[in-house]
This record gives sequence, C-alpha cells and structure tokens, in this order.
Amino acid sequence: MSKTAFEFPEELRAKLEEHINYFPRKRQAILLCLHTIQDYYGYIPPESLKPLADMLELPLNHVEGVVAFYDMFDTKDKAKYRIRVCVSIVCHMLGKDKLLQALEKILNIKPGETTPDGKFKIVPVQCLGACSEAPVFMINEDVYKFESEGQLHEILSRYT
Amino acid sequence: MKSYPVIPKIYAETTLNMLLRRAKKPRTHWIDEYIKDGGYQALEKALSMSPEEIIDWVDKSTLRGRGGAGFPTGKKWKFAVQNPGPRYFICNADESEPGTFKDRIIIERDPHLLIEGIIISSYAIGANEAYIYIRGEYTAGYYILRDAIEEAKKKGLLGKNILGSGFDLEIYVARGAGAYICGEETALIESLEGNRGHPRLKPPYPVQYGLWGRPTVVNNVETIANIPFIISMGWEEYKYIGPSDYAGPKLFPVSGKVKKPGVYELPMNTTLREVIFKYAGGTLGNKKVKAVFSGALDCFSAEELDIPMDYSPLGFGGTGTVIVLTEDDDIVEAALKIAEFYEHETCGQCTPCRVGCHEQAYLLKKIFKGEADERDWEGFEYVNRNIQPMSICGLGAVAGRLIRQTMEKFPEEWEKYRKRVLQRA
Repeated sequence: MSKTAFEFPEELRAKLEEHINYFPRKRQAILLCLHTIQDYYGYIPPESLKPLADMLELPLNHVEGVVAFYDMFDTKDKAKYRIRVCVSIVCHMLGKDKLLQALEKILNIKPGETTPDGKFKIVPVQCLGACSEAPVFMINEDVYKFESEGQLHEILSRYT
Repeated sequence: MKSYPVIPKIYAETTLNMLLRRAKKPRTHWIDEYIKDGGYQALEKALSMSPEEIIDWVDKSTLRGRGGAGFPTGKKWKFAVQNPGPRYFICNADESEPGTFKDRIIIERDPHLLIEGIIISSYAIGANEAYIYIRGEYTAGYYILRDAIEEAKKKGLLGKNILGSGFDLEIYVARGAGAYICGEETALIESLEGNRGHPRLKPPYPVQYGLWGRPTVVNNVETIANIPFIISMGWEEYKYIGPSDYAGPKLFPVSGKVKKPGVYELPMNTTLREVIFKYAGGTLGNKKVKAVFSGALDCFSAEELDIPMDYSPLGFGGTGTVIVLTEDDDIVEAALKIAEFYEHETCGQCTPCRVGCHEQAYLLKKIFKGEADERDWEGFEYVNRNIQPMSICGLGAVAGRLIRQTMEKFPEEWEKYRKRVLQRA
C-alpha cells in the first residue's frame, strides 16, 4: 500500500513559483512561501514541507528548522483566522486582559486554543508595533484597536 | 482603488515637516502624489553627483542610525566602500521592539520617501541589489511597498539605467515571520539567505562580510528616509536642524499613559519632559510620571525628565521610543513584562541567553507572585547580571539591562516584594 505523495493544488503551486522566481536565489523565498501556504490551508501541513523543500532546492531538515524557528508559522492548529493579541508592556498596561477576557467570552476558548469549528485561534504575541492604539490585536492581516466587547463582537462578525 | 489590510490609525505630528511632512496625513502613498509634492527630485540631484560626494555629505550631516545603536551613517558607508563589490544595501524594516511604531508610519504612508532614500543610498555605496526586510506582522506595509516598487519601475526610477544615469537597481521586499531577533543586522542577513535568524559573531561586520559574504550596508527605515533631505537641502542646511552634533529630525513613538499617544517628529534638543507634556498632552488623569522605558532598553526615572532626546552619553538615545508609566503602575510588574519579552524573543543560539532569559522571567514571575524564596532572589539577581557578558549579539547584551536599572532606580518598589519573602520566612 503506497501513500500518495502530498501535492500542492495548481493555483497554490503557481503562487509559490511566483515567489521563488521573484528573488535572485530560490532559497530566499522560503518565508514568503511559508506565509502563502499558511494563508491557503489555515496552517502549515507538515507533509507540505517536503514538496516545498524540493521546489526551493533545500534539504527537508533545513525547511523544518526554519518553520520551527519563526513564530508566525503554525504546523499544529488549523484555523481560518488567527487572532494575534499583543501581550507586551504597553498593551498590558492599557487593558490587554480585558481584551483577552472579551475574546474568551465570545469565542468560548482560552488563549492558545482554537474554536471547535476551526475558525478562530487566539494567539498571544509580543509587540505588534501599533502601541498608540493599545490594546491591539490582529485578525490574520488586519490590525485593530480594542475598545469594547460590543465592538469586538462586531469586528469578529465580519470574518465569516 | 486597491484595498489593503486594515491599518491602525496612528496619530502623527511634526514640528519640522520633514519625515512626516506627508505621512501626518493618511493615504499619501501613491507615486503621482509623491512626485507632485516634489518627490524624486533629490534622486535626480543625487545621480548628478558622484557616489563619493554623497557619502561625504551624509558623513558631514552627522546623521546617525535611527535603529537604536546610533552609529554614524556616513562612517558605515565609508567602511563598506573600502571593500570590493558586489555590495548589497538592506533596509531594516523589522521594527519589533515594544513601544516602537515609527518606521511603520513611513512605510505605510510615504513609501516612496523610503524608496527614494534606498535608491540614493544604493547608488552611493555602489549596490545594484537592495532589500527591504519587513516584519511579518506589517502586512499592509508589505503590500504597499511591493506596489510602490512596481510604480517606481514603471516610471523608470528603478531597474536598468535609472533616469538615464547608467545606474541599475532592483529592490526586493522580504517578509519576516515573527522573530524580533531578525532586526539584529546579522540575523536579518541570515534570514534573507533563507536560514533561521541566528546572529553571526562580529567582527567581521556586515560592511565587510554581509549578504552572501559580500560587503553589505544595513540601515534602518528612518535613517534612510533622511537621505533625500540631506541631498536636497545640502548637508550645511541639514545640520541646522537640532543640535549640531546630533542633527536632523527624529521620530519619537510615544505610548503608554499619555493623553495623545502617537509619533512625533522633533529635533533632538527636545527634552523628554517636552515630549511627554508639550507634545503628547501630558499623562492620563494628570498622574505623576513614575518612569519612562525606551522600548525594552533603558529605564528613566521621573528625576531624569530633563535629558535631551539625543545620542549623547546622557541623552535618551536608542530608537527614541517613549513608553510612559505613571504613579499607579507597578515597576516590578513592568519589569516582568520586559523579562517576558526577552524570554519569548531570545533566538536560542547561545546558552546564556536562551537559558538566562527563560530563568530571568521564570524567577521574576515567582517574585511578582510572592512565591519566591531567598534562593530564587539570589538566582534571579545572578542570572540578570550574567546574560550580558556571555552572549553573541546585542539582544543578550541588553536582556538584563532595563530590569537591572529598575532595581537601581526604584529600590523601594523592589523592597516591597522582598519584604513579602521575609515575612513568609
């Protein structure tokens, strides 16, 4: 019984090739490719690393080492939307606990957990670089200032 | 019009109308507006000068690196051109330190100012390949830069034979992925080569041995944004801005317990007190200032508010980050947040930093919770002192610094936590 090898769907493969051709050397596209894979699947499927390594002409263990090093990459939990909550000093002083409590209440999960439907994951992170708007959180690529539970509810409802 | 990810509405104000001249208004990032506002004229002027002359101007301007270390930019460029090419130019846009959000404003609202600076800088050091390394969390900034570069290419401002000068340049934008350490220049270079972001031993410095082992200049976004002004104004006029040894505009990202947090562009003879009270509107609820953290680097007490915001030994220095803590903030709790930051961001390469940052945060958390005994205190103080002398890069060198300064400047606050141990014993 042979296990079928993991293959990227055509549209994703084309996007990865575009990244690889963008830089002077193939290996430089590794982070960009990993971002794209994570955006596509909602996480980085561990079995996707071998075909990626082949495309980048790098050994698999090199790619695995890179994935493990960079914080934004998640090879465990599949989530359509990652909610990154800043827990650094400024957001901490200005109410990140209230933000986390509101998130926990609305989504019924704790920081680090994913909702059972695989839609949201709460990820505590260090400074997001928008400290004048503290407390700050990101939903995938968007940045928001937390104001109230109602506002948070409204923002989350936009992500379907 | 193309839509970008949601960008935070950061307040920006300037008394100098230079770096934030356009960025104080949101949505000024298209090339036609930039050119209408006089953009890319400095590039035309620069291409009519010799590279040596540009380096000389930058050197005489006294411009210092705005990324934290404050190294003279002209000197860095001079070192780089002593080494044979090919050379590379890298813009460090991996802004990740707590409280620091100044570069983001330039990237998101005035990317062509940055691109113009990169083209001039690359021409000066003789680089035909330049990179912008932007932190992974600056998503909108990444797309804006990619689009801005395409715009510039279409106008003949990038690519082959720029404006008929015979100078070629390509700019590539690389995205980070959530590693603070990649703001350290040698770690950044490792990351650009597709590796884990582990810092290299220095020397050799990047100006000697950088990307692919070639001479490489790494400059911060804000530093580079100064270059078009030095060229268009001339270094003599530029030197009139602020104190003569620390000339030029400086961006100060102000956050924490102030009424008007935001990014302020001011000359460097401004004092810390003026930044907080004259510009940022004073403290929330008019509370007394207890301390100011310059990111995760230094701690200043309320007695030090009259220091200048420059790079002198007694000046504020660093990236210019101002985090204001007031009387009801707990200094030990704040120190714990800084310890947790370093615990999370240590890259794991050298043992003293990897284990030390973890132990420092672990023991400080015990202290904060009132669960520490005498041995924990001893261990904490020992670790705090010993991360620094045994680390490869700057992160390890400063991982204990701010925390130690809080112990020196606020002994009575730490004493409260010490008493909790003694009472229990």
